[in-house]
Amino acid sequence: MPLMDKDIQIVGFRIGRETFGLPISLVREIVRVPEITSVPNAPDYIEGVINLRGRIIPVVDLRKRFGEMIEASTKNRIVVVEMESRFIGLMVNSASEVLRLPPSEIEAPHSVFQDGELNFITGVGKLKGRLVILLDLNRVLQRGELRSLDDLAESAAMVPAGGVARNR
Amino acid sequence: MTFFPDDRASELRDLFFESSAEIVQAMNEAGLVLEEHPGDEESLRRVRRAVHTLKGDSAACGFRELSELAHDLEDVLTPESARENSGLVPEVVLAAADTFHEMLTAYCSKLQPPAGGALREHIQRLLHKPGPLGHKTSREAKFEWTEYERLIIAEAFQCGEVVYHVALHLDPESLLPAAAFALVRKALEGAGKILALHPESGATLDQAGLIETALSSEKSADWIRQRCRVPLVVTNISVDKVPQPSSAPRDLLEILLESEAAAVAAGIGKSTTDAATPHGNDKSGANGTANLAHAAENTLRVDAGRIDTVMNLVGELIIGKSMLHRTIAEFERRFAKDPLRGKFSDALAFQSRVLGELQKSVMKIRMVPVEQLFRRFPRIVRDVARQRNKDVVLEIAGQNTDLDKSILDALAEPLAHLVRNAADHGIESAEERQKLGKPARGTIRLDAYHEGDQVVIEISDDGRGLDREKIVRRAIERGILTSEEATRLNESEALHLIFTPGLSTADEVTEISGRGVGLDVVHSAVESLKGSIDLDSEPSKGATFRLLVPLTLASIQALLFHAAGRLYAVPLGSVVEITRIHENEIHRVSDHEVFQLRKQVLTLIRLDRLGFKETREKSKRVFVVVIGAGNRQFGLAVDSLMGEEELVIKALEDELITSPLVSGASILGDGTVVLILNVPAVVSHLARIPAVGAIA
Repeated sequence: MPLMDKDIQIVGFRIGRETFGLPISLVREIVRVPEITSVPNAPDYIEGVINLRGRIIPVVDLRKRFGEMIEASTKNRIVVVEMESRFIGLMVNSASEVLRLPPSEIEAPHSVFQDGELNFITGVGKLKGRLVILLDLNRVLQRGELRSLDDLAESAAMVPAGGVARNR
Repeated sequence: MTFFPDDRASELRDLFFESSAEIVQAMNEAGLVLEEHPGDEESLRRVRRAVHTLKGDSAACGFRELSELAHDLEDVLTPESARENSGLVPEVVLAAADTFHEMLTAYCSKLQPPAGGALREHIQRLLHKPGPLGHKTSREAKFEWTEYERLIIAEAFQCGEVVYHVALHLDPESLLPAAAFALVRKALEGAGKILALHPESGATLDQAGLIETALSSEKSADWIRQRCRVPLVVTNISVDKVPQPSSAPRDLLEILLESEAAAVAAGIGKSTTDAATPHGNDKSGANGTANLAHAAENTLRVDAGRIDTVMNLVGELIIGKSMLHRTIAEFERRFAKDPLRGKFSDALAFQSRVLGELQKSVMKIRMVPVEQLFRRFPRIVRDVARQRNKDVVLEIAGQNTDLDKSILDALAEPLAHLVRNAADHGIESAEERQKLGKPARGTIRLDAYHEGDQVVIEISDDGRGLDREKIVRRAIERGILTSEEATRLNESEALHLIFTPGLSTADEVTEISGRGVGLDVVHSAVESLKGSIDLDSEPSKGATFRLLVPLTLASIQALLFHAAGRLYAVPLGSVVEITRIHENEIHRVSDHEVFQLRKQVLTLIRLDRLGFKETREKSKRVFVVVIGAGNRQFGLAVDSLMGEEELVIKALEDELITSPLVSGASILGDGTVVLILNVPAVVSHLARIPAVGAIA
């Protein structure tokens, strides 16, 4: 099927040492970090709310979500995603670029990802020897603990080279 | 059975649900009148009309069960049977209103409707003496216009227009008379200018299905006939040119004077209907449908979502205005001598004025009279009174007070609860009342009025009042407070305990009220509207609940301040005063920080205890914003005050950030997001956490 061969476009961003990716269809825009208003009694990883051109949207600190160290940097960005008409900002270390991944280069999550805390991954893409972890946004935004990035990196390294190609 | 394609059908269904809710309400009202005045023919006619319309409309929407039931009911509700069973009829009508309501609710959520067995039984009881069916006479068109309509027609002649009398007979088999009427009306509007129209709306269409109209048109009679021939709806059309009045043309001055007088009269009539309510303001309830039908003419049904969109856009404009304001202020600072400055401020002032008007007008659209809500309560009171064997009358006042529609909707349940409570627990039995030397009939009063930026809705009864001792005792039993704390309560604090979850003072749990979930729900509902409840009670004299809610939820005047290093806003309406105290004026009483303001001792609230990560060091003198919530007051420690501003409220809806402590957020002119504190929630939240000093 020719359609299947079309590259999948992924917005890549970095948290810690890892590169993560979200389908470009989910990403509304990427903005510099504006002033953030914090909200009382919110979970720790909720950074607060920002004004996105007249719209007040929550900002989730993905770095805190994955238990990463936080360093304020001018490179920090907020990736604004749209889910079921909700707008949510994701604070990341830096946003890299739009990556084109051929479907054949995307591995289904290894079974270790599928159970328990790591099921927020839909797949792992390989791009020029680099691994891109594709996130399941719904799971990421659920309340509750996620496994820290170090564990994640270990598990990602365990993805077998010749895994089953994802059917998408 | 529908003649319409799918989208039309669903549109039709929406219309049907909307109009049928009114029909059921009309039945409720008529039923109550019939109960008071058995055999009231006008009310019976209203019921018959309502049932008839419901029958036709529901059949057209494919709701067979409802249509059949309505059909059976219509058959037995004849004037003859009403005369013979006048005691039974109101019961049947009210039962029917309930059953229809249940069925409609079921249809609306696409469920199987209830069978309506109780209603069928009622019908059977009436049926043993069935009267003859109402026969459909084919009435002749008479074109009897009112004086005002004649005047309009005469004016049309004066202007040299050609006037036709058009009579249309609707197909008596037509299943949706109201929709058919709308179609015909549209056709007529397409054919010319409607000068007069009888009946004025589909709801008052009689069984003969005759529509008479005076039409001014440049087209020929034949053309009009063609134009108005709506297939499947219109069976017979007659179009006659109206001859010029044979009498000598009257003096122009006379006509002008008369028309002016008529216009004034009409204007008065109009303004009274405006001042009344869109749904008519009928104390007797006898001509409710007539009024309703009349008002419907000048009323536009608009989906609330569309108005919200406009409202939101206006909100954006207001944010835009304050952006502009800041920019121009900046410009004035930089170029103090530039002649453009004046032009800028003029333009800005003009724009602000128009924007203010725009905002007011849009807000007015959202305003509806509380009567829309109040009219449900006579039925509730009647039902409770009957079940509990009491004699209760409901007095309603202030029903023309306007309130934002969404607030009104949110108040429906809490108010119904309070009314039910008053009838069930507040009012004593007739014997008990007589023993106390009170009139046997208890009175519940509903009132609504404006008070500043707020609307007050008052529910009072002349019953036994709230038992303060019992409330406090119960609260201690349930561990809500200690007996030591109880001794320190003042009157209103004690009474307010009834809003605590899990506290019901009713000794017996009745079907009607007193299920343990109760007044706390009322309280939280009102609080979520940024409102508050006042409460007065006098033993054996009665109790009064006063619900204070904001006029609108769209925007508020707010006080901005920095506290705990962050910017916050509170509604200006809740700010009592602002004062400054020294750190050492703050005392610690058990777990709370308090300070003295004149003779009063107030609790001091610090926002840095809200669970933020960073806090600022304390300065020696603190600003205190004294805030009133309900009839309690407390102080809010703030770092600095930023002044007041009109804030357009945006809800923090996203589940990630919803917090009961924050009632909304707003965007300032410089783009900063400011949180609007839900003051009562903050207080009760902080009351649960021990003060910082207590830990240390």
